[in-house]
Amino acid sequence: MNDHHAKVIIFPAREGGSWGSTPGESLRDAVEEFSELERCLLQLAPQRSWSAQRWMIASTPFRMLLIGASKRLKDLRDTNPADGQTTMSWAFELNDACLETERCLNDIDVCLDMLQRPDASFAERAREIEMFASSRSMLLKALGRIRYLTTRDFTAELGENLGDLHQ
Amino acid sequence: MRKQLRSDLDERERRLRAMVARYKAKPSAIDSSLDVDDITLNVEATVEEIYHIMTSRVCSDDNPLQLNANLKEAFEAQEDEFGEFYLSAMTAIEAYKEVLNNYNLLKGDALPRPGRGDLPKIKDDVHVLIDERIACIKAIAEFHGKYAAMLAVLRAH
Repeated sequence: MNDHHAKVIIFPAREGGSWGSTPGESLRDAVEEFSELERCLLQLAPQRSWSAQRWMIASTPFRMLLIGASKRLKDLRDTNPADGQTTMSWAFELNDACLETERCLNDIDVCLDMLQRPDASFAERAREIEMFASSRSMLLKALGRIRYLTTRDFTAELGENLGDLHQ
Repeated sequence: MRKQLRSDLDERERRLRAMVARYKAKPSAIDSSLDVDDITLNVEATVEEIYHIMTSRVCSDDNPLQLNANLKEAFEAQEDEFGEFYLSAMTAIEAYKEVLNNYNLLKGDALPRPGRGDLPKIKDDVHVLIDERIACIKAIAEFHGKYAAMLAVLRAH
């Protein structure tokens, strides 16, 4: 892992995409966006007694942030090493972490869909809450992995702001 | 304009939050909020106002809050759900107003004094009123919850 230190990633230029104007800004924006998603997720403290409406309300911030986060993940996955200036293994690791995150987000989305259905039975609701808790735990791990990969090696190049986010 | 709109959204959120807190503490307090002329004290007018601001100003094409593309998409994706909460609140308010008006007519001075055996019927009437009142407060609280959750995302950006 340490062999990635002080390497430089060349980000593909994007027209009208969600990347910022510099790689540093882009990574910082992505890490900030994922951190906010994590915060929303951690604030959700589901209870078995919650109605469909309660789920709709409680999951609103998370669902709203999901749109931007999904696009960020896609952008990150499209970040290919260029000019041999970074290692393939880093790119594969990042790609794996993004795929895992996308899978977890999809699982949570499916759970939330079910929990927001007024006709869901108590048993179905209980099962989905367990699924939700499990997917959430995996998602937090996957997001942590992305944060680690995107900040670990590049903190020095990208300035202190990004370093602060790593903590 | 952007600052003014944010301020308008925050002010309505605080106002509705205070109303909901008051009704939860004393449910009958909602009765006087339903026919008051002052728009800042009228719960029905406040709910309508919030819906109007959200649909015609926040989610409008000219994007007065200068939301980025993702946030704009996120707000648009919530429009239908927000509309359902609004419809639910307005329907509950309308139903409760009708029940309250009729209950007040029943209690009118012109009626004869109740006789023996009338208490169960009176009790039934009171329970209908209370049930509708609770349903109304719940629907308003849920509308506020949805609105506050959407606003929290806005505040973070």
